[in-house]
Amino acid sequence: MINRIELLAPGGDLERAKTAIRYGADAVYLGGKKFSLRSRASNFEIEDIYKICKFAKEYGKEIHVVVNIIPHNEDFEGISNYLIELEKAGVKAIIVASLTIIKIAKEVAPKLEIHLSTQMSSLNSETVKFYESLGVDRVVLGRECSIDEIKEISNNTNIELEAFIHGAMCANYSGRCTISNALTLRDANRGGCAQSCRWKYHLMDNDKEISIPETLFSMSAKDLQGSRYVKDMIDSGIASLKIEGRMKSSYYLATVIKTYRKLIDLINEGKEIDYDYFDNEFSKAENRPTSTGFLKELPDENYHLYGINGAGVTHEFVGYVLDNDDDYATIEVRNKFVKGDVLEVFGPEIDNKDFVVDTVINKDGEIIELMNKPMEVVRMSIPFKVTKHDMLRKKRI
Amino acid sequence: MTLSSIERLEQIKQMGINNIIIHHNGFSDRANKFFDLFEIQEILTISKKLKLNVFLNLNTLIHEFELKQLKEFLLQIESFDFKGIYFNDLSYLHLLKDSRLFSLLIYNPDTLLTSYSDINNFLDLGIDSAVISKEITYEEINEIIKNSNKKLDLIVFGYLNMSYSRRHYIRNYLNVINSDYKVNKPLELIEATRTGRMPIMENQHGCSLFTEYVLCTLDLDLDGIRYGIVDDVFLDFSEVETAIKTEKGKVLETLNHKFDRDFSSGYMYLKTNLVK
Repeated sequence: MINRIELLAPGGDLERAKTAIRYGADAVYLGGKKFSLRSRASNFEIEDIYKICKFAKEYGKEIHVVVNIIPHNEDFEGISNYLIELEKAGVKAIIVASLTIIKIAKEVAPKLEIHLSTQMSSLNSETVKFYESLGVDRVVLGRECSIDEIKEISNNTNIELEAFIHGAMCANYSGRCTISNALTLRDANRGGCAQSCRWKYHLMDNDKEISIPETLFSMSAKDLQGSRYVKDMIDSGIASLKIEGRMKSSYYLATVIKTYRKLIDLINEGKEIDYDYFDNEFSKAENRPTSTGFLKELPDENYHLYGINGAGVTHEFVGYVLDNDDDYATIEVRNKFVKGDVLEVFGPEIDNKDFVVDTVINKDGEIIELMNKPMEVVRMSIPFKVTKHDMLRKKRI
Repeated sequence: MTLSSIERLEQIKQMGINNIIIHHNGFSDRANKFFDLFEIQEILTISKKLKLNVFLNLNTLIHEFELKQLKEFLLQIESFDFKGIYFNDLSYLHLLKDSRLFSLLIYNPDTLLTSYSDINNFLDLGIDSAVISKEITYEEINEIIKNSNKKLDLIVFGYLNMSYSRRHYIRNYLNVINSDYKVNKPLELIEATRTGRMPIMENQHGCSLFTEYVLCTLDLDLDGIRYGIVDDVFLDFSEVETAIKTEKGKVLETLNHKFDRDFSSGYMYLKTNLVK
């Protein structure tokens, strides 16, 4: 029997959550204004959570809400009412890192599933069994697990497991790092992480410097790209594949989610997989250089970043389809393109399709050849049918 | 107090210390010295004669393929006369649920126990105690002490570990710069725009980074704490001895005057904020 694994994607705000759903996520996780890490993500007011739950329901998808701060005494204020509201809104699950919040949720909002956050660094089956004994429905495994460990944990446990498949990685065990607290007074476990692990450091042996000036020491990790392990993950019987990135753009989400959606569907259909094609697709979205994280092996130097932060992204997001009629598509310009450029369209229902930019008309009805005003709405002829919410991208030269 | 040498046991007792913490060479990390089972038995024997209580610190996180070895180890120490067992990974709560060792467990996840409510929920499981997180304020610590169901432990002296990773940062970095530097002791990091030195330790478990300063709260009133933990990692015995023997109220000043190291009250009066 095929395990219909869940593809779980982030939604930093209402629009991005909708994009995630449109582009193929089975479930979206998001954070409220309180009680969630990633304080710099836009995050949701409760009204927006109601809206996204309604939207997800129309698509047959689910919403998980992150309530994963490591709480201080003062942080519990209002938590009961918040959880009650989440349940009322139709949220499927909350992702938590506190025994108190687990307990409160079970009392006041028993319909909410409890998912144990990766902040708790669950790395073995005995830990999972402990959480099972508390009534936790799902455990998000630590990103330090190898694929063999994930398989073994899955074999040895009964409750649902979730594992990261894509996105940024903490340099250290999640939840166990206070470098940000120490160097910037920003509490990593309450949403303020300054990512101090990605800074540069001198490595010293007493007064002797071991590091070299052109390549200083860093703890910066490459992002995870686990596409080659999706089949193993499915075979392991875990419930969910998680994409990191509540602060990522709609374009990034659309690209990554659509690519995993396609990959999972092909695997489920028993098709042969051309992984080079998928690598190429991921490279069209902005991100750091990637690696397989801990999935394949213990990371060596090739899994880390020393001074390089850009990934050599191959494509740039240039336009968003707002509407389409028989002759023209209405496009919101996002980045510069010109007449004669080759653009690629992709969307929830359309695979990569190229065309050459020809006639473009601005709001005054004038034909223009340079599209360089972000958010300007133009009409353009596209020689095939596009649909609202499709995206246009251009190969970088 | 953590133990770095069996030979020091008597001296430690003479300093008025009644409880020692030891580290195992398989399931412990972040210490000056790790002991094998034979040495642990020897420490227990000597400590019994000296009327010293022995605590075992099992502070590594456990990966799936370590479970078999861990189960064997726990069976081997089941009859050992520990006063308590500090643990970091929650697997211990399930592995030891039917063992006499369960009631000796003291939860110490370093960074996760920042509220009395969470602490009480762990205590309600039947464990002995817990260690309050050290990156919180004096005010928060006192509120936790006041509202917890049992007496708790707190690190009161020593370098604080700021991070714990499965990655081998030093080894990997030396490979990147093609260095054959032989690392046989803890090194230090200096952030590129600062001057403070942060000790960094790497071993088979991965890498841990520590604060620029040595926490010293021995001058503060922390009544209600069960045990104040003195951690000697990276420190000379003379520094620890001075800290313990100095009159309360003068410890910080004395240490900073006498030793070339930054001793500080840490986060006690600093509130970490939440936003950018």
